[in-house]
Amino acid sequence: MLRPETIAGVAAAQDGVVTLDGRDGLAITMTPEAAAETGRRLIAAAALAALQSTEEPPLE
Amino acid sequence: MISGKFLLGRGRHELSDEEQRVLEDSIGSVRQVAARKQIVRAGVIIDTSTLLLEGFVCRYMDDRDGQRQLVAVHVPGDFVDLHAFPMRRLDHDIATLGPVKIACYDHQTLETITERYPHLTRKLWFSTLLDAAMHREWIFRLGRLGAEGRVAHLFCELNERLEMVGLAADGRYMLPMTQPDIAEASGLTGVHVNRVLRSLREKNLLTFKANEVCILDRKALAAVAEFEPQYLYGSNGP
Repeated sequence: MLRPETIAGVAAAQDGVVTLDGRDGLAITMTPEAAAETGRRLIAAAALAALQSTEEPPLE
Repeated sequence: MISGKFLLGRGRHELSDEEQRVLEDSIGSVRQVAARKQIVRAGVIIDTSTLLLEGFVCRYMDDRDGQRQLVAVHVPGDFVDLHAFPMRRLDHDIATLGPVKIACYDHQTLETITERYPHLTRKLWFSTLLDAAMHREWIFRLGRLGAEGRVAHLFCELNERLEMVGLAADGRYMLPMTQPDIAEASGLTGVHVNRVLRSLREKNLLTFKANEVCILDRKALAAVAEFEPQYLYGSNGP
């Protein structure tokens, strides 16, 4: 089962788009607008997640 | 023999002279097809199967927006759509990547082969299982590897397969695929593939220019790709 990734992805700008590379098969290209909005959402979600419990819910 | 690349490097030597002759004599027709042409459409009932003699073809599926995902690349010696013999239709499309030469086998003739030549039949079955093994590896490649790994793996696999049929040597081979093709085989965009190819070149692992692939460091490229060739069942078959 995959576990939450602890190593940050690598974002790069090329030819007017943003590529994001990471472990566990992460590989995506976005427009600058989509990347910027994704970035904002990631930061907001990260702030919330930091306040949440890290205990895994029981398997059903 | 024009069918001489079938299972070359993967157990062809286990075919008797008679079986090789039967395979050769069972060819219904041979034809040339230009590059970038569809040769089989998903869902259409077909009554022939295709042995690729020269060139490359791909199997692909389009999403609802028309974006293509390559699900296999075939090299000379591969039976491209033997699945259609028992299944009668395919669930994917097949198209040429570059100009090709193909041999067509009528399904009635294949039926006769299955009735009279059980060992040859098992070898035909084996060839479809090779496809299945490559599909499993592609699931792994696309599900678990990042962009560099996915592209590196594709080049490693093609090198191995082309070496088996004498079309690659010392890590060099011709490949009629564009960067968009590689992107479609790797679940990436063309820009991402361009970036990956530059990175692999700068790391002195691989170059790909004017349709020529040069693997500069086979071991290191295989490490990036997490590539191990056992799933190709080479070196004389199972």
